[in-house]
Amino acid sequence: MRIVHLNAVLAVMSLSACEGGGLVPYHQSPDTIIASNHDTGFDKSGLDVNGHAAIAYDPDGCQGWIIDDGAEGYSGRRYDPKSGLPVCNNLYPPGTVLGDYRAHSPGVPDWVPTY
Amino acid sequence: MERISSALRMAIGAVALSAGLFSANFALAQTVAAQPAPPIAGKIVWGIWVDDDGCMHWWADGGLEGYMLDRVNPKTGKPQCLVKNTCFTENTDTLFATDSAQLTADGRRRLTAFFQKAGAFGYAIYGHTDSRASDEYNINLSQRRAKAVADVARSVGGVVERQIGFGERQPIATNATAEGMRLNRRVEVVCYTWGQS
Repeated sequence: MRIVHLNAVLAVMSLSACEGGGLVPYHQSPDTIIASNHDTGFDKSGLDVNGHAAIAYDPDGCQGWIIDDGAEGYSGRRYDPKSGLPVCNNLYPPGTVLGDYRAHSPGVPDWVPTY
Repeated sequence: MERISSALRMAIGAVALSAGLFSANFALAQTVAAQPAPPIAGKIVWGIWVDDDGCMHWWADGGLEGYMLDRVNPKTGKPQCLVKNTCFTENTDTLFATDSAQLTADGRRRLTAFFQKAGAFGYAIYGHTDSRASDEYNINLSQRRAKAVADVARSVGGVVERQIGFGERQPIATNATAEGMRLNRRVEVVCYTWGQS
């Protein structure tokens, strides 16, 4: 299973490399961009829409924002904007995800673990 | 593909963990000289993403993985948020009599109408005073006022997740002028919603 996925990843990576952009192997240098604020990877997407995220409950019952653009995942703590306190309650069990966690135009459909 | 990048992330995490343990041991061995910095691995061009509460997060795409850091105030450690989600701010002069936590009839009517239509899954209610009288007195007064507002929310079925009286400790204006003090005497309600975007 994993090898099939890796082949798929490499295939899409090399495709997008032909169209400009894409991915290159890492080499150590102060000028090497490790990550950037526009998606240069094969999935061609990024966090261009403010606000659009799902809410995920952590094991403490506190909420976080999660976003998946198809290849990468992002998460940030949810804070009360006035007091800076976290938003925590027992409305849902730990681990619950509410809302659309996928970015508006993900480059690739999401794959989830078979568990 | 998510599976692959999860595996990658786990591998990166494991490497980071062992690197952390190594540098911790290294720091213990060195008691006088500052620990030399590791070589520069590269750089990240961060972007900003604003959540539905107005709070900012730094994000960057690493090609096959993503990174996000909550943006915080370097001095206080508190999140940096644009003014977006205070769904109710009211001067306490119109809600309460001076030095009283007893709601006026008009104040109660307006608060009831507000909580009936707000529709949030939870509320945070914060009371504030100006700087006249002692800090202790003001904390107490603002707590009682926050409770009075919270009681209205609960009376119409609202869930109050927190009610806090900050007294005079979180001014939004100067207390040196009458107008500044008026602005500081306030009740703020933050609505916790599932988001609109």
